[in-house]
Amino acid sequence: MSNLDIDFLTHEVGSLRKPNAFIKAGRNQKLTDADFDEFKGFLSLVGETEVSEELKNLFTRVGPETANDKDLHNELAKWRVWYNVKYKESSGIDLIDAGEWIRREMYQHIVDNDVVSGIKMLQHVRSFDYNFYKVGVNTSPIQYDRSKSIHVQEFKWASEVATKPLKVCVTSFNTVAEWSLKGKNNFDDLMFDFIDEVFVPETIKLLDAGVNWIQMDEPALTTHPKHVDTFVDGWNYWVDKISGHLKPDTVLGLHNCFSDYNLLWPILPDMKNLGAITLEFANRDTWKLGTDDESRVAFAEHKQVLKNLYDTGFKAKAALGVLPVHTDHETSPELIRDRLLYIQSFIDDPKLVLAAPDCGLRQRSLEVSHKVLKNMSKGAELAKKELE
Amino acid sequence: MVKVRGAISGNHPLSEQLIQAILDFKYGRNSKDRVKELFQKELSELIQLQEQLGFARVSTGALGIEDVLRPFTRTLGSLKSYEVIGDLPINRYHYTNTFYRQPKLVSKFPDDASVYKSDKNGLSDDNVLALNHLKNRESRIVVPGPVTFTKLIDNSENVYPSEQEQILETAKYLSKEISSLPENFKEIQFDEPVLAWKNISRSYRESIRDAYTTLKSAAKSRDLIINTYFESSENVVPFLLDLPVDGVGVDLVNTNLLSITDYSFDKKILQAGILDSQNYKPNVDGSLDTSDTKLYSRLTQALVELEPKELILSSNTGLDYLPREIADAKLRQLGEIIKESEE
Repeated sequence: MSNLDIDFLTHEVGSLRKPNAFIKAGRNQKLTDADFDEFKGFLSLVGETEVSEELKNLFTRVGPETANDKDLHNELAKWRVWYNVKYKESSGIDLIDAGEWIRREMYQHIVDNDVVSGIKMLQHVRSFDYNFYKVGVNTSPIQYDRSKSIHVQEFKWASEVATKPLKVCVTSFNTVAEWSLKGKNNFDDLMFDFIDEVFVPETIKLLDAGVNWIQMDEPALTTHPKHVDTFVDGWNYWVDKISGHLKPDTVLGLHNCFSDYNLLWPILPDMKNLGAITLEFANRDTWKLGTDDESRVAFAEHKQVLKNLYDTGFKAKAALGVLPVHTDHETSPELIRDRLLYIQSFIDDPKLVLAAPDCGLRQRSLEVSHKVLKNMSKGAELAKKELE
Repeated sequence: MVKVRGAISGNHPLSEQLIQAILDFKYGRNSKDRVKELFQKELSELIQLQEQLGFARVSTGALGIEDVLRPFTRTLGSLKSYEVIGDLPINRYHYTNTFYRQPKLVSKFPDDASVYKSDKNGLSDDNVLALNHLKNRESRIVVPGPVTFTKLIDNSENVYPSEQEQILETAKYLSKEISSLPENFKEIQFDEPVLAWKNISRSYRESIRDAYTTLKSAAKSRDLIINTYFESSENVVPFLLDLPVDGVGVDLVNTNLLSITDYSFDKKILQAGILDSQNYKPNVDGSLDTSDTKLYSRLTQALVELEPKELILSSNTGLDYLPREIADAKLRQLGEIIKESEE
């Protein structure tokens, strides 16, 4: 494991688009020669040229007749995780998350599986543009099968191939409660039911399996302002319940995006053991190079409050997004450098400044994502050079 | 006797079948023709459903329109980057898990209406108003109100010297757009959720009053309704009732009915958002539990006792936050509530 205590540590935040071959295999569709050719294009991104014999054999067995072959699909799931890790490592980033290519969608992954019950999945609703997600409704008490886990296997597979430190991204309890239609329940009770029944045992399993960095994904955190304080109660309650399993260097991170940060800043000092924040900023920023307030308008808006926060002892690592995720417009290494240097100008300690995209790059092609993640790594190196 | 009718009060969701067709098109698995075909069928069915339920003024439910601002974002020259919408930042629509592309105002609003005449629906490539479905039918349309329009867009270029002036100029521009609507649009609902979310200062209230005077003047005989939602409308109702509009929309999911019973609605249409657009009570199989229909019909009777000029029952806003099957079931429940309340 390499040291995480470095200047401008780079990492990715969430889900990425999946290679089509894995999607088709997951749907039990026969792969064609064109699918194999396309997959080779993906392999070229991770520095490989040919599909391994083992994976080729698995792919060729896929079809309607093997739809119920759990061993086959389990093996393919392992390869998904392996290649996800290789893809990220090949982009040069420092901290790798454990996969997400075996997850269908971040909300569905938590509530629609053979571990958790109580949420009935419904059909799609709009997220934005022509993007959609499936919602669920609370129909019965939330329950968790303690003999199983949602994330541990994914982490173990990732650990088999990772040469860099790993984190696990977990869709967190506030967001799961926000995104669930409450049915006859209410937000507060549903969120605490999730914490007690799902998140406490699941987190303990992850920590006991050796996970040292958990990113709690909370994109919905400020959706309802009146729920923000309830979230802080929930977070601290959750930390108390898992505290016996934390190591001194365990990082509990918070990811939030496309939100009202004015609601977020006041609660951060009140959150126990908060080790990292990962937020969306580049989406709101200009495309101009420069480390002046006008060029870095998104960061400048919150500069003073963040400076005050860090000047008064806040110590969480801060990844204020330097890479937008909802555009194909390429962010250059120089622009990433300037964003990082601007952030460092008010957080001061470059070891507390992390480089990350605003959110997951799922909406982008694998080629575009790889390119911009590489740019992010280069941008972090350029920023380090400026500080030398 | 107070006339009671139902209405669609915002964006209506797409069906699972159409969403799958859109995703298949997006990822190259089918042609856009399939999307267009399903869209036309779905829109037709939505209008038929409203007619079956006796909704006097039908709506397209803004079916297929990406977000509340999109026709303007896409077509209005005063908004930057309207040709490369994918580069615009994503903003959360307050209180929801739904987002919109945030346009930036870079020049003054034009003197002419252009959007409703020329914007095209992304799914049908036809005019955004879908007039081929609405012809000869009394119709209603939902438009972002000038305050909400101003608050949702990026105003960092300071095209107008103050926000109040921008609200007034937005109203002048929108008045041209609504004047350009065909005659069959008998009702225009201006969405102003911001008025319920934030405290509106006295100085703003004057600007808002002037803005709606301009809009009502342009609306002429069309009914103009101002709708609020996602927070209690309690504090803003007296102000809304005092505006030169024909109707006021109150979010009764988030507003205690008793808090508004002292106000006089007798000269206004009351649009009562009685059904929750963000939640529902499920049966075990996930379908809509309608066992509370009788309770809602009693609520309707209580609303009738406020003696509004007319009572429109609706969800508090568009049902776009729920799957289509549930949304349609809620519309049917509205129909049942109206029937029961008349018995």
